[in-house]
Amino acid sequence: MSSATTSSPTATARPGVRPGLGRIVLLILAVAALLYVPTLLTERAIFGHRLSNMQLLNLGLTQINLMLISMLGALSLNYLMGCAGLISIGHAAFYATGAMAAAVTGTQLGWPFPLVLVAAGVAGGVVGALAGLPSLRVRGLYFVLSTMAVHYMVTFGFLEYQFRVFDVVGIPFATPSLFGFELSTPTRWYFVLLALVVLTYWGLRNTLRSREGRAMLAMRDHERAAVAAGVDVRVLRIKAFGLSSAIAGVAGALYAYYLSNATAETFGINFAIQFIAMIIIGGMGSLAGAIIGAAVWLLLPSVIGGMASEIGPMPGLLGSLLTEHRAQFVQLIFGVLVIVLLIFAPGGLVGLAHRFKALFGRRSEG
Amino acid sequence: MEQHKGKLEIARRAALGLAVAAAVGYGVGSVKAQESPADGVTKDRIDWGLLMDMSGPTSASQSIWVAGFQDYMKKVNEGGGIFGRKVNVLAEDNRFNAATDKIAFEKLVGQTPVIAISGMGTSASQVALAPTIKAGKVPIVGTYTSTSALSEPVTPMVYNGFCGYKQMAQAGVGYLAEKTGAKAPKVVTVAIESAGGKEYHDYVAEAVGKLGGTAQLISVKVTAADITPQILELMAAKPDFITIYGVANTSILTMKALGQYGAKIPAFGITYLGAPQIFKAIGPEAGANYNFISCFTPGGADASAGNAEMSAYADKVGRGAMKEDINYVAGWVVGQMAAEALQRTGDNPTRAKLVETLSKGFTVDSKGLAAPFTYTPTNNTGPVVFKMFGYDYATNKFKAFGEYADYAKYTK
Repeated sequence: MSSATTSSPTATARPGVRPGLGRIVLLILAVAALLYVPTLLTERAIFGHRLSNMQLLNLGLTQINLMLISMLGALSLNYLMGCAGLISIGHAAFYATGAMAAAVTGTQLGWPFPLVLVAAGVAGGVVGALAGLPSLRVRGLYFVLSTMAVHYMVTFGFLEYQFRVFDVVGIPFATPSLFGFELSTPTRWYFVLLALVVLTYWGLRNTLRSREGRAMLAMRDHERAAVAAGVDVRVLRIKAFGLSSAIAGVAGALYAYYLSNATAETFGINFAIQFIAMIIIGGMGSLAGAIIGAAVWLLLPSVIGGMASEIGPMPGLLGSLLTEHRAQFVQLIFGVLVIVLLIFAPGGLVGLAHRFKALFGRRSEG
Repeated sequence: MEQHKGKLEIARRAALGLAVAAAVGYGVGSVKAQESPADGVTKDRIDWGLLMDMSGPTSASQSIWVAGFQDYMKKVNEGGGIFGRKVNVLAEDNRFNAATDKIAFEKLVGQTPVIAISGMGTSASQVALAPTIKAGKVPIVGTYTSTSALSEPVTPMVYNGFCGYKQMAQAGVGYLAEKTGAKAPKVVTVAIESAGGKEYHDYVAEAVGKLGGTAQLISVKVTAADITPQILELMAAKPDFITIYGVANTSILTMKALGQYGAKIPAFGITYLGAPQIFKAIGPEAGANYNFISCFTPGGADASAGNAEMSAYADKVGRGAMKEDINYVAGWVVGQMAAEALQRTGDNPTRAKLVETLSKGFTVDSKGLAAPFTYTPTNNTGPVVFKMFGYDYATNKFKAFGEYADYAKYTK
């Protein structure tokens, strides 16, 4: 059995060959594990055996749900930056656009939740396509600055909208209902969000394998060669921006609904930068990297924090750091880990995995 | 080839090390798993949660509040704890972020369960979490900020632990209107863009309105580094006095900018802005126009028994510099409140018993750090009696303007 899972990567990658039994078993186990996550984190026990907080890595279901929403943002940004080669720091703006569209259609007009998500996606897509227009004229850092300008314009619009229509307290979002199924518990949210992440991943993966997706990768790798091959890079750029920001818009609406209250402050520049950090940590240009990066960014500080609190009383400086300055200590450790990762795995965690795979692959070949 | 083998060996060792670490961690976790009862109470420990910003934009004040609370509980534990149980403070950092707050709240409710939570210093999160808290089982004992969404209508799940915005506005406006002699005062509120800031301004407008005056709100960002446009707007309004709501930086920027323009407009900050570093940063000239309204007395500002006890303990644990900070005092007083609540709950506390005890009403006597305040089944407002404080640059100590009793007329 084990030989199936450790079979040569060249054999599994060969076109036309059916996936091995090992892969199918792994897939089934992965699906089962994903389905079991809400039960595990709600009951804090596995098959009746109670687990400690640290055994569950100091994680809770709310954290997982917010991670899933972030995965949508990271996937869409990786599509834009890693696959289309367009650097943007305006992702928080598209989130804010989605949240604003959700406030208008959901909170104000009372549309059904699925339609609210569609509206958020359309609004995000339109704003994204407009934000992508400068890419037709400017490149590099100049374009990055234009996306930053979009960020400030949109958040200003959000602030004005919030203050004029609602209050400084924020925009309230009621518990949404999906086809009569009220998303009133973290478990229900989990399954909806998980389905959306899987669908988005699958959709983007297929998009990248399509003719247009390949053209986009060519544009990223060598724009002049892509133009010479007949690719209309102007249209591709706008499409990439539109699709990426539409996904971010939907994620923004989900984020606002999940938190049940959103303010303009929610979508600050730090919010945008965190998505860039996620895809760099995970691996730029890899959809799997976006998923892993979001997980690391959202979960690792909590895991470190949990470990710090489990260590217990310590003497001296370390004791003081762990008890009186634990919050800052956790941020410090997290920052150091990210720097170490960037030094030793510049291709992100996915790049690191590829290096390990190559290392072990060569051994098995040898 | 040799190099490749070497790398392989390192990778194998790393994998083995990780596996061993995971196994040990799992084993340690198994032992600890038995020590996490649902209500955060074991035979020798009571877990009490704090939810505050300890590394975000408001951490300069909120982390000091946490220190005050932790120090009071350390003192309780040194004295034998509550019915023989040590109080274990689990402080969660929300980084002034609503999403992080939601995660941390869930953690304190279910993952590392606590008997009660104190703090909750992010007003937007209070608004978002209010329905969950009111319908839940974990009481919030001693909030750091009080929003009406959480505290109104009165619920047995929430007890304010800080000076209320309404009373701050009433006492501050009443005192300065009297001091400046303004019959129908024109007042400007400089406030950070937040739920609490808007609420505070509404109370200021109400208090000023009762005197026949007008109030104007000028908003600034919590992370602002320059507020020149707002200061120009403020000066154009020609107010009789100013009130400031925000973080330390809000007061510093406002008073420094006013000083640069040579404007000598009296100002008072909300209680949270009673930190010595604010007065030190703005200097004696601008500091002469700046005071703060507070329901707590900073360390060293008087000779009450509570003040002496807190000051001595802060000095003992190396936090002498913090004792003058009103946030430290407030954390200490909420610590007293939490200890009092646990004491009244008896030797076998649970969340339900604690809520039942609290809902019957109780009084917190901080021995002079604040005027005694009482909770009743219909009133969970907390501290309501105030005093204005300024800073004596000659002695580097806070000075009070009058007694708590002198201000009772403003908040009636």
